[in-house]
Amino acid sequence: MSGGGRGRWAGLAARPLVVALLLGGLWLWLRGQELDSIERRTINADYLLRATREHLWLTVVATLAVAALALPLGVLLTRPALRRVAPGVLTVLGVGQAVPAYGVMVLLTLRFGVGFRVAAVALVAYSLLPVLRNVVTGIGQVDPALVEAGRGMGMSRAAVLWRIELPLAVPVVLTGLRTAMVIGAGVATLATFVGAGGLGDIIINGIKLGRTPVLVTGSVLCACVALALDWAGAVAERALSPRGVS
Amino acid sequence: MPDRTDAGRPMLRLRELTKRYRGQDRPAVDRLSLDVAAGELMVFVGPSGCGKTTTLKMINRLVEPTSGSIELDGEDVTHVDPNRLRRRIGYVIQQTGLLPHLTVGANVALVPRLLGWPSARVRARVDEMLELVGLDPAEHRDRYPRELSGGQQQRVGVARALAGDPPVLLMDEPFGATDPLTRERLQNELLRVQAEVRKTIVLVTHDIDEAIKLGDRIAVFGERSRLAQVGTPDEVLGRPADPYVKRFVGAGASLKRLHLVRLDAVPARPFPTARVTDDPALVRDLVVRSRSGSVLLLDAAERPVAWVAADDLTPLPADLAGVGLPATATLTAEATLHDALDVMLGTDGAGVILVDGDGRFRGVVGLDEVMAHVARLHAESRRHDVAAAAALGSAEGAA
Repeated sequence: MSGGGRGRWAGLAARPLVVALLLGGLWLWLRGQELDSIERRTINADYLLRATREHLWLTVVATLAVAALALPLGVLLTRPALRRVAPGVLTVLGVGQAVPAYGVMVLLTLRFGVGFRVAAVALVAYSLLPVLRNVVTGIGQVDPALVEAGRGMGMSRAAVLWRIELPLAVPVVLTGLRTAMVIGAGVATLATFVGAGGLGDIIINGIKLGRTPVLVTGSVLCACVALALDWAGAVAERALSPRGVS
Repeated sequence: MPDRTDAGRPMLRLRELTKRYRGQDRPAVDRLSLDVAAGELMVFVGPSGCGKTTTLKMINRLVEPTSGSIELDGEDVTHVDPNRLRRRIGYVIQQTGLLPHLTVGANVALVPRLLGWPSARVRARVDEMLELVGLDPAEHRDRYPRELSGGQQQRVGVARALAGDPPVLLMDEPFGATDPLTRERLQNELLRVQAEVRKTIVLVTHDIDEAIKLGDRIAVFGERSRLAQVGTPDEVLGRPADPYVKRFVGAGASLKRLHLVRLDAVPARPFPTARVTDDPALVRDLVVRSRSGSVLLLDAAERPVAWVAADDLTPLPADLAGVGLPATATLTAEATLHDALDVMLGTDGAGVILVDGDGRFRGVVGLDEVMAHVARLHAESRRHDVAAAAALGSAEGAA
């Protein structure tokens, strides 16, 4: 799919610019600080890159897992046979979302120990419902006349799903995924409490040690990760949304 | 009525078609039987909830019949794979159903692709279909549906339904969502396209005027798909089968029948004519001797120019250019008596001027000619009624 006109991509340059400014400002500010040995143990390229990479990886893996779960589930819940139970299923899953992510992590830790997997599962549990809800809404808002036209032309149910329902649901589904990913990037700081690393390590270090530069560095990097993911999501939305639809 | 069908061979044959929905004690469609001949445009008309749309959707099995059978071109298709069946039946719906994320060309190409046509053939077919419905392929092929007007979208809908070259076309209130002007244009377009492709068409509408205008035959639906009458528009208007049909056809049935008569069905009256280049004095003599007190001026190509009366020629002008009442009320033989009446009531002059395709004068049709034809129609209906009553009487006598 080729890009369509300038308007389609306008407004996407702002976020990378903000990220660059934040990182540049942080770098200038840190250069003016006298860092002691404790601070230097955290604030060095190796450590920061590793923590950022862990953080990104955790968020992205959780988001992909959410997509892999929510899409088929959402498709199932919008099939004629299951359409009536969809509201009930969403309510039950809503209970899961009411439990704080931190609580889920701790509970999982009691059973499965600490580590990346527990953090990822907690993140998935946290963002599955909103994404699933968007999938159900996205497919549900497809004009029934289009589905009927497709069936009337002799498209199979699968063809109607793949060529009509899913493409037209893409904008709503991707918006849900993107929101979940950005919130996930924030929630992922909690992964530090289950030994899964990430930028939460740096922030907690800063708090525990009373070192403001460490705390600020961790926070700014976390904000930058969220902004970068939001940008990537927006780019994906633009690229994958069907053309010809508003 | 010219015979527009391959007489005798039904393309569609519905037998005892019934649809019951769970939880409803009365069937939505109850043992409906109907034949639609090949090349015929059959209109289902009736009030909402009469089961006409349900019946239509049973033909392509979007609604599965509870019992009964459907034959398509002699083949029982009641139990064949519905997806394959639907690729042989074009389908047009009110909301157009164009896929908004596909270009116009891709929309039209949907069924040919489903049928597995090679892509060169699909491309050629898309352009052919767009041209058929009056859209320039180069201009419209790569646009998206929402960039088109409602009328254009509906045209694309028709092009898409015809793309797979199906023998049968189903149209569910195809023009219901368009404004009156667009609707009339689309109706004319459909008649033009149908004259070219001669498909077997079943069209659903709740608008009796649309049914009269489009249908070769009309099926008037009553409660629960009871077929109150099936017949040509003229039969339905002139001899409604029962009080229900009479009520449904509504007031003004006589006026509506004029829609069905083309101008060439009534004899045009010869009329005194003269050339614009003729001597004004000779023309004045002609006017004085004429029965209507006027003469029609024609140009060198025999096209009507003006009505001239005695007043226009006193004092006698040097030549006839610009003299008299402009003769603008011209119609061709394809126009209907209804059009003629409309024009007559809206203009001065001795009547409607009948011209041929090149605009050449052929005759004049006045109010008298129209009234004479209406009287003939009435007499015909009465004869039928008398004959029907006689037949009924003898049947009762025999019983």
